[in-house]
Order: sequence, then C-alpha cells, then structure tokens
Amino acid sequence: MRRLVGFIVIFFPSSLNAFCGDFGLGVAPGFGAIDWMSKSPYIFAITLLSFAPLIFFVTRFVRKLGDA
Amino acid sequence: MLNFITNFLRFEGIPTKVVIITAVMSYLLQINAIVAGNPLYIIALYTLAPWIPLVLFEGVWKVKNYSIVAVLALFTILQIGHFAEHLIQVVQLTYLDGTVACPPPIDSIANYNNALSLGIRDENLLPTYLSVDVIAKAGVDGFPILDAAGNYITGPAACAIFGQLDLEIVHLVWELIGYFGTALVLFYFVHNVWLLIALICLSWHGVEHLTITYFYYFDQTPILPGFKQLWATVQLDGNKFMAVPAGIQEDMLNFYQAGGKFGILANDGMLEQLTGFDGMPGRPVLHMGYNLAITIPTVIGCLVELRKIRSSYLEESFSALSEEELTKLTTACTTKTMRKGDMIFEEGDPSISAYLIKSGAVKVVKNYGSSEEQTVGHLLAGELLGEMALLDGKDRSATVICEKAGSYLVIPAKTFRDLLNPQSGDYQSEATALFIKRLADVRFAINRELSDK
Repeated sequence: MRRLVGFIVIFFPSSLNAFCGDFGLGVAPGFGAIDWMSKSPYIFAITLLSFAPLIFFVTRFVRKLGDA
Repeated sequence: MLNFITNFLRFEGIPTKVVIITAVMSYLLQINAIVAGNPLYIIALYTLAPWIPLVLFEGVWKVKNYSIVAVLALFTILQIGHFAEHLIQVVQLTYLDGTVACPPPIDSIANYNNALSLGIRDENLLPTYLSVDVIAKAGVDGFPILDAAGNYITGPAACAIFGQLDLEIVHLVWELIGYFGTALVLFYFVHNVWLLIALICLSWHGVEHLTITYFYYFDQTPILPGFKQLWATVQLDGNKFMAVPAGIQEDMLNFYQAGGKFGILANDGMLEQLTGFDGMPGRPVLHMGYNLAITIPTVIGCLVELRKIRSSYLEESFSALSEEELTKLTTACTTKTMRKGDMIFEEGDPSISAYLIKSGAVKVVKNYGSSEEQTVGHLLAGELLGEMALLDGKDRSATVICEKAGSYLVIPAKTFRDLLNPQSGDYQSEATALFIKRLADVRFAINRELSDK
C-alpha cells in the first residue's frame, strides 16, 4: 500500500517532467544567440500578453488617484 | 494592530477542540514518519495533511466574515510559502552543497539497474519509487567526484521541501495563481500601490514562466546533440535514498533541454546568449529574487488593507458606524464558536464583556442546575447578549447556554461602554448608542416582568 501511494505521489509528477528535470545541467554545445533570435516573435507575444492587463490597472489607479 | 493580526491568523471559525485534535494527529503522523526513517518531503506531507480541511473551512469562514481582505490574506500566505520554497532551494544549493536535479531522481527500475551494473546495490532491494534525499556530486564525465579519502561528495537534492513538484507546469500555475489573485484583489483595492507593484513584478515573472513553459510543451523538435545525466540509486537508511551519478547518455536535445529552460534573464539564458554578457545569477537564485520582489509588496499591501479591515457582520449590525469606527470595532472584538450545550457565561459571573450572536441560538436560564431552574428567554442570530450586566454594573443575572451551534462576537466592556457614549469614546455614532440602549431597555422591561411573576 505504501509503495502504491509512493508511486502515485512521486512517480506521476516525476514522469510528467521526464525531460524537464536537471535544469542545472548546462547549455548544449552550439546553443546560442541564433536559436534565441528564432524565438523572438513568441517571446514578444508572451510579453504583450503578460503586460496587457497592467495597462488597465495602472490607468484605473491613475484615474482614481486623480478623483481622490 | 499586531494583536488583531494574531487573532486574524487564529482559527476563528473552528472549535478549539477540533484544532487540538488536528494538532495531536499531525504530531503523531509526523513522529511516525520520522521514526519510519522517511525523507523530509514525506514527513512534511504527513505533518500538513490533517490541517488541509481545517484551513479550507477556515478560509471559507474568513471570506464570509471579512470579505475580500481574507482573499488577499490567503494569497499573501500562499506567496510567502512560495517564496520560502525558493529560499530553501537556494540555501540547499549555496550552503549545503546541493545539486539542482529537479525533481530529484527517483528509485526507479532504470536507476535500480544502473546501481546494479555499478555494483553498489543489493539486487534484493527492489525499486521503491521514492525520491532521493541526497545526491552525490557529478564530474564532467557524469561519474561521481570523490574527495581525498575516496568518498562521494554529497549534498541534498536542491529542489526545496516539495521537490517532486518542481515541475515547469507547477511553477507556471503558482505564478498564475499569484497573478490572477493579485489582479482580482486590485479590483477592490484600487488605491493600493503596493499591490500594483506586486502585479508589475508578477507580470515580468509571468513572461519568464510562460516563455519557459511554452518551450517545454510546444517546442519538442530535437535541435542539438547533447547529453543526459544518468543516475543510480542506493539506500541510505529507512526510506532515504541517494542518487549516484552513473555516467552520461548522448542524446539529441530540444530547445528547452539545450538551454531554453534558463529563460530570459538567468545565467545562460536569453540575455547572456544574445549579448555575450556573463554575470547573471543562476535560475534558482534569480527566481528566488523574483519571488522576493513579489512577496515584499504583497505583504505590505496586505497589511495596509488589514489595517482597514471590517467585519461584514458588524457592518450589518451597526450600520450607523463610520468605516473607521467599524474597523476599530472589528479589531476590538473576537469571534468564538459554540456547540449545543456550551455555557457562554454563568449566573453570578463578573461582567467583563457583551456578546453579539452571529449564528446559532442560545437560551437564558435562571437558577441553572437547581430545582427552581427556569428558562427566561431564547436569543437568535443578530441579538445582543450580556449587555444588561454591563449597564447596571452587576454580576450576571442568568446563565446562558447554547441551544444551536454557531458563533458569537465578544465585545469587551470598554468597547461596549464607548459605543454607548458617543461624546467621550472612540465611537461617535448617536444612532448606534440609541439602538443599543433601546435594545437594553426592552430587555430590562422583560426582565422586570419576569421578576414580578
């Protein structure tokens, strides 16, 4: 029983992350700026997505500050 | 204020007996896990498990009673817990010679076989699927580094307490909980600049995690030759295991594995790759920094709102009080739970407070426990209790017993008298004083009527 619980609790998330662990291992030889440049459209889109709601909150904050 | 925060962090909506039983259960499970030789994460899991339902019930109770401030407090506590995990990871890595292999290797069939081929494990000890606690340092060849005496150089798996949850998706979910939680409370606390600062930091943290998680799930094409570390697992004692480096395996790596996992600003991440600069902190340290930058304004923002907290129940009962007065009254009062048969106070007790019934019902009894016992009244939610003795300065004239489980607010004598004296006390509402006095007059009249009979 203990082994089963251990399996579910530990193995399931670990298997999800089968290729995700060991982020301390380092960079593959040859990996560099050119690879990152190819990802710039995605990173730009993600940045817009993440910061867009802030515009609403900052605008609201400034407006309320003006009202006060 | 400190007193109120202490009260706020207590279990207000759960009977003390239940809290004590849960604490005892938690300690017993913890001792059992320690004696059985379990690793730290299992000890932590057993210790925390009994508290989960209590925390959920208490969370619901607090949201009902303190409205959105309770939600903010909940997010703040979660954020502090998140930061603590990052801090522990950095301590493990920096001061305890830890290895960042997250989630930690498990005692799997593959790692069992690796240990057998290295001749460092008894074949009769089958794989347990438990995570390792200790990791031996690996050299560039993927095999253990030995000290002068020929022993492994070991340290903890630097993945904090719950390292098994050190997954990209978990990082992203925690980040999004903080992001949407802070955005939600900002709808209500428009003027709270600290929460706005926290949201700015969360937005940048979100960029990092959305980017990394995007690479992880949607960029699987192998692009570069590299290697993966292999591990062999051996038993230390009880259920504790150690991972020993067992060489490297050449493999084609995708974008994430090749270096995308470091994200934008960490060491070996996008910034360094694009500029050639080399001096950014590693991912564990950088993300601890992000969380510190989020946690500090969140805690300050929460304290700012806690200073203005108002019990929604008192707001309904004393609607004539101003917002500041309601905050004062909320911080002065404490909530207690009652179960059927509980005695709130006994006839002859000194009068030190008044009570406001929030839920449930009580009965007022004269000569309780004697042959002349007589029930003189029943009080329901919303009714004041014990105010007569405070007004006439005498001891309790009757015993009050819970008839239906619920909760009540304890209003200290000084606060109650201040409420009655708008000219001298902290509360300037004539209407509230009049309301209490009228209520007391009615109660006095009923009492006189009963005495005459």
